[in-house]
Parts: sequence; structure tokens; C-alpha cells
Amino acid sequence: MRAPTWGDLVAFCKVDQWVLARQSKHAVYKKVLPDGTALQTEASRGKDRDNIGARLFHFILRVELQVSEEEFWDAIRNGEPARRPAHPAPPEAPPRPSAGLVHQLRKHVRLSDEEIGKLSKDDAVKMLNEHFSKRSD
Amino acid sequence: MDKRREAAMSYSEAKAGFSAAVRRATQEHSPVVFERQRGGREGVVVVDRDDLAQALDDHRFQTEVFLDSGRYSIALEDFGLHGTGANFDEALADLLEALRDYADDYFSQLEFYRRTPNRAKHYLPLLRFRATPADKQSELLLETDLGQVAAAS
Repeated sequence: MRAPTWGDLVAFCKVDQWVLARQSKHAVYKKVLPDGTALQTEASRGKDRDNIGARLFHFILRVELQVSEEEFWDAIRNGEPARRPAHPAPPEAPPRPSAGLVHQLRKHVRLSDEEIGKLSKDDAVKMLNEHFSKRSD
Repeated sequence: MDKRREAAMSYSEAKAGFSAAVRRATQEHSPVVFERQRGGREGVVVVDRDDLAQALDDHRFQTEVFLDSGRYSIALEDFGLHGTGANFDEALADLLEALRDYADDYFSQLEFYRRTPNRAKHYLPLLRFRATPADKQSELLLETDLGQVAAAS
């Protein structure tokens, strides 16, 4: 499958009958499922051809759209709403570090973006604890 | 002032004694209730902002950071929101804007969100967010889990 773009996300929202709720820096789409679950997603405006990025796309599918990757592409290909109940993939494992941990790593450990990109949440916690324990020696 | 009036002030009393009521809430840390005397149970509570922030401290914003080809994304799974940017600070600012917009939507359509199975629970965290001064709101997205990083927290 090709890399997903912001234009693909907008195309999905249209065929899956989401409502365009707001347009500013981003286009915000909303959809209410039959059980009352309120979904929301946003697509960067003017960046239709830009790739979303595999990890963010996985998050958008799982949490914001609540469909599997296959259901996403099928809906676009067929021009019909996604089959529901849908089957989103499980969370990415291991969990990613939080913004607070990344902020601390950048500030205190001076890690590069490349190094941060390789860390799991547990790695980040371990690295910070090691850094602060050395500093207090 | 009798016991009844200590517990709640009518709207007309509140108009006349607003400064004193705010002083009581902020300096004496005693919440003040303004209550409509006629026409139902409507009321307003004035609480010191720091007291409210402390009371809501458990309502944290659990973020997750992704890096894809050098671009940052920060996601808030509980809220179904994300921010993106060419660097960490841009992504954080983008997520902050998304959360502010969501809080505005949420409080302006509260009856709707209260009925949703996945978003009713956002009331208290968003109240904490709304009650935080605008220049401190980004710090809520940078909180480290309590006890997770002993020396940094």
C-alpha cells in the first residue's frame, strides 16, 4: 500500500460521511457513531500531497477514525462508508515517550531528534533516571 | 451574616458584594456560592484558581510523541487529538491549539458531549485546562507522570 497523505484522510472523511466542523490551520472533521461515540480528526490544510507518517497514521486510524488500515483504503477505493463495526489495529508496542519525557531529554540530556525517535517510553524513563542519578553523585 | 447567607449569596447580594466574595474565595480559600433565589436551582461557585488547579491535579494529559522522517507528532489518545510540526516545539504548539479549540467546542456543546460514551469524562481535565492561565497551559502537556522520573518531577 502507498504512503497515506493528508489528502487521503480528507478523501476518507468525505466517503465515510464525516461533517466538516471547522477550517482554520487544519480542517476538523467529526462523526458520531450509532452508539453515540463522537469521533474527531483533523487534516493539515494545503498539504494534501504530504505524507502523514506511518506512526501518526497508525494513531489516526486506531484512535481518531477507529478503522483498520484495510477498511480505510477500501472505503476510499469503493467510494463508500467504512464497514462498521470496524476493526482498528491495537496500540503500537512498546508505548512511545510522552511530551514531558521528550522535553526533559532535550533539555537535560541534549538528545538529537534521531536518538529520540528510537526511544520507547521505558527507554526514556531509564535514560532520564540514569542522567539525574549521575548528576546527584 | 446568618448561616444561610454564609452558605450561599443571592445574585443581588453577589452584585453588591462581589469584591468581598472574590476576596473570600481567593484570600480565605473559602468557596462562595451565588444562588438564584427564585426560579429554580441555578447557582455559580467562585473558587480560587490555584485551589481548583490543585483539586484537579490528578486529571493529567497523557501525551505520546512520534517521529516520522524527522517530523514530530504529539498525540493525546484520551482526547483523540494530535499536533504536528517540523520540530518538537511546533508540534507542541499545534497540539495546544487543537486542545484549546476542542475545549471551546466542548463547553459550548456540553449537553451533547455529556451524552457521548467516549467524551463525557473530559469535563474535569478540560476544566483544569480552561482554569489554567493561557501562558501556563502548554506546561500541562509537558507534565511527567508522578514518580516516573524521580529526580525530574
